Parts: sequence; C-alpha cells; structure tokens
Amino acid sequence: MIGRLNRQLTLWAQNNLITADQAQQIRAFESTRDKARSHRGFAMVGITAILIGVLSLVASNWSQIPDSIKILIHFIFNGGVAFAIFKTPAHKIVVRDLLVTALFGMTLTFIALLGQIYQMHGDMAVTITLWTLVCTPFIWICGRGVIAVTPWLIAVLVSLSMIIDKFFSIEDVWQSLLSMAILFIPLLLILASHISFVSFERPIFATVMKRYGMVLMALMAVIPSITFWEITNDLHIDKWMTVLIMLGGLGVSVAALNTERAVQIFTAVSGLFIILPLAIMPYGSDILGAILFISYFAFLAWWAARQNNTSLIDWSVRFIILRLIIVYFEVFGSLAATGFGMILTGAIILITLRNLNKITLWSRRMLGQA
Amino acid sequence: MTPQQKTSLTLLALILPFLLVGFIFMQGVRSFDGTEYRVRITGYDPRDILRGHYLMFRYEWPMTSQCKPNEKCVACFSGNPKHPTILLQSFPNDTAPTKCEAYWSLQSVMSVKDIPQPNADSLRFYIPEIEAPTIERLLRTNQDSFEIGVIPHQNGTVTVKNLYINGELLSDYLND
Repeated sequence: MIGRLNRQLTLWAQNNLITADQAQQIRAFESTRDKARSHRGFAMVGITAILIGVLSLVASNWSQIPDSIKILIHFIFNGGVAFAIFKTPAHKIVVRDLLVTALFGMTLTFIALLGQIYQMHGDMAVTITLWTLVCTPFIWICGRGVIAVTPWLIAVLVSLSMIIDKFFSIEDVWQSLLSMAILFIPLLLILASHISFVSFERPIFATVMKRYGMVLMALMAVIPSITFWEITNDLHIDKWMTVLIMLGGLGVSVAALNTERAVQIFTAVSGLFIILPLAIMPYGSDILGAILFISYFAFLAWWAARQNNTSLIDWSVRFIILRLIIVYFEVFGSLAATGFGMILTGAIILITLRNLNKITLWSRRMLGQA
Repeated sequence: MTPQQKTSLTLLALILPFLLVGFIFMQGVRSFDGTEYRVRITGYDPRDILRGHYLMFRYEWPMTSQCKPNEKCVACFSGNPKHPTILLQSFPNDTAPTKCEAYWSLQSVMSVKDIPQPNADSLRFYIPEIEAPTIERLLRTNQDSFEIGVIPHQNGTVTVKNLYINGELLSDYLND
C-alpha cells in the first residue's frame, strides 16, 4: 500500500501536482496509519486463532458436553455480548457494530442449538422471519454502520423471499399476487431508503438499502433478458393484469422518488426492463434477449455518465461486448466450431481484448466523460 | 427523547432476542414433559444431506396394523413405557381414543397392507456430525437394536426425545 502510494507521490511531485513538502507530509501521515493497521491486523489474527482453538475444542468434545451446559454457555455468551453492546460507547462504531452483528448471528445459533437439543422441526421460513423481526429493534438502535446493517439486510431479504415462497406454494390468486411482490423487494429497499426518518436517523442504513436495492434491481432487469419470465406459467391470473399491476406499482414508486432525479430515472427504466420481458412472453427469443440486454447496459452506461461514474461506464461497455460475442456464437453456432470458425473466433476475441481500452475510452468520450 | 428513555429503549431492544430464545426454550422443555415410550426403528436412508445431520428412519411396529384405508389411524400406547404395548387402530371419528394411556396420530393408509407412519418430522433424529458415520454404519449392519423414545401429547402429536441403541441412550452407548 505504502509502496504504491510512495511511487504515486513521487510522480505527482515530479509533475508539480503537489509540493515535495506535501508529499513528505502525506508519507508521514500514511506510515503512522499503516503501523496502526498492521497492529490491528496482527491483533485480529491472534483473536481469530484463539476463537478457532476454542471452537475446535468445543467441536471435538461436543457429544460429551451435557445439553444443559451447552444451553447455559450459549446463554452466557449471548448475555455477555448484549451487555458489551450496552456498555460500549456509541462513538466506537466499529466495535459496537461487530458486537451487534455477533449478537444477531448468535441469536440464530442459539435457536438452532435449542432446535437440535429438543429435536424441534419448526418451519424454517417462520423461524428466520421471527429471528430477523426480534433482532431488528436492537440492530436499529445500536447499529450504526455497514457492518451491522449488511447482514441484517441480507437476513431481511432471505426471510422475505422465504415467506413469499412459502405462500407461493399455496395456489390461489392472492398468493400469486403476493408472489409478484418479490419483484418489488428491491424497489421497497430504494423506497425505504428515501423515508426521511430512515435517512435522517440512520444515514448509513439508508445508503446501504439504496445500494442493495439498486444492485438487485439491475440484476433483476438483466436476468429476464436472459431467461424471459417463466413465472407466468405458475400465475393464476391473466398476464396483462400482472403487467398492469406491476406497472402501477412501479409508477407509484417512481413518483414517490421525486427527491432524487437520478434514482428516479434508474428505477423507472430498470423497472420497465423487468416488466417488458413479461409483456413480450411467450414471444421471447435469443436475439430479442440480446437486444434487451445490450439496451439495458447502454442505458446503464448513459446513466453512469450522468453520475460521473466512469467505472460503471467501463463495466457496462465490457458487458455489451461480452454479449455481442455471445450473439456471434448464437448466430453462427456450429460454424464457429469448424477450423475456419475457430480461427475467426480466436481473432475476434484477440482483437476485442486488444482494443478493449480504446473502446471503453471511446465510449466515455461519446458519453461526454474524459 | 431523554437519555433515560433511550437507555430503557436500548435495554428493551436487547432483551427481545432473549425473549424469543426463552420462548423456544420453554416450548422445548414443555415438549419433553411426559412419559417416554420406546418404539423400535429401522433405517432406510441414514442421513438426509439436505437437512443436515439427521438420522432418517421408519418405525417398526410390533403389531400388524388394524388401520382401515383413509381413516384416522393412531398408535395406541399402554403398559411399560420401555416395552410398551402398541396397537395400530382406526378411529373414524375425531374423538381421542379413550382406552389408550397415550396415543399418536399417524398418517392414513391407502390400503390395509400399508404400514402406517407419522409425518416426516417424526421420522428423523438430529445427531452430531462426529457421531454420524458410526451410527450410519450401525444402522446399516442391522445387528443392533435401535429404538426412538417418543413423548405423546394430549393432541395426538409426539416429541421425538431420545435414540437408544441396544437399550442404552445414544450418548452412553457411544461413550462405552
């Protein structure tokens, strides 16, 4: 880290971007940070080694430990972590977040332990949902950063999916309608991040929710262009009614996001790309899928240019190129496997790789980015 | 919000997970309360990989089933819990069998030749990973006697409590 920074600082000083004094000050500052980081790193290695040692001791003697002792020790551990959360000052965000995440995870392991000891065969979806629900208040009150919110958000998404899946197995119209809600989970996350109470009280929570929501939304906009929705086969309602309901939900959500124009545009277009394949069904084809895929990434590149996100522009262009290569294989099929086809395929891949940087730079320029 | 209110709210939020765990614990303790009857089992798929380390089995009833097709079928327990008398009978109406000391609702049979079994939850027993290969081998060789200790409840359900090998508790058997 410091080596690379050192080279960069020398380069910047040589090109008069910063003075030699400033470069020296940055070096001094970063080297102290580096020392602290390595100390923390070694401490983490030590703690991890102890934990692994304790765990392996417990694991190898697991069957010899009486059930009551297992429950008691787990209770003491959980109680200890809860007490530590209570006593840790709020400004020690990382420590508190780690403890919050530990208590969140340990609550689930405690439930699992009781399930094993008392041979309980409860419903997994209900258990995961209950666990997430009862842990939400302390995560909200005591958690502050990404470390605390990320596992919780994943648990929320998993429990939501499990609950929807559980209801989805019951075949009637209402359950089918509910199953469509799975399409709007990312939308709900984006909307939740815009609730003023959330963004004001827990800005990190709001940021993480928005990011996850947008990433999921992008994923869900891409996947149908590859598979096309086959969910319509399981629905017990008319396809067009489903499309209309989804459009309605999307419209309301987009209207509610009026405070952030960029997110509003992203949500509206991504939502349309989620719904469009459903409307096209059953007339989907490989070429149509490719057109949708490329169109969506072209939109992402355009959107990224508006946010000055050159990294996203580059990735979008790379995905478009990759999809074009797949189109080549889809169109030429067996021809690509012949001697001539192999040479042509190899040449195309090599030329593309060689010119990848030029293509991405050209794309950036076209989108008005340096 | 005053600091005291904030502290109380934090405490309450931290207690909530313990309440859930406590509730599950109480459910577990309550489900283990009652007379344990032993039923012989036979293995057919020692471990269900998808569900973790569970011993999978079927009950080997000592008596021929008298359950009629598509009627409510129960296992009726009486006598010494270690070696109970078990009768498999039909109960067309929904009233609990009165002649049994305890009973267990089984799944209806399609024909009189079918051997009644309970629902899937009572057909598996959690075993720690380290012991799984040993028990798997024992169950396959079919030389040892395997029994499951079940506790019937008043509503016709049971809790699977213990696994016995040759009359000994699993943990004791493995420690010997």
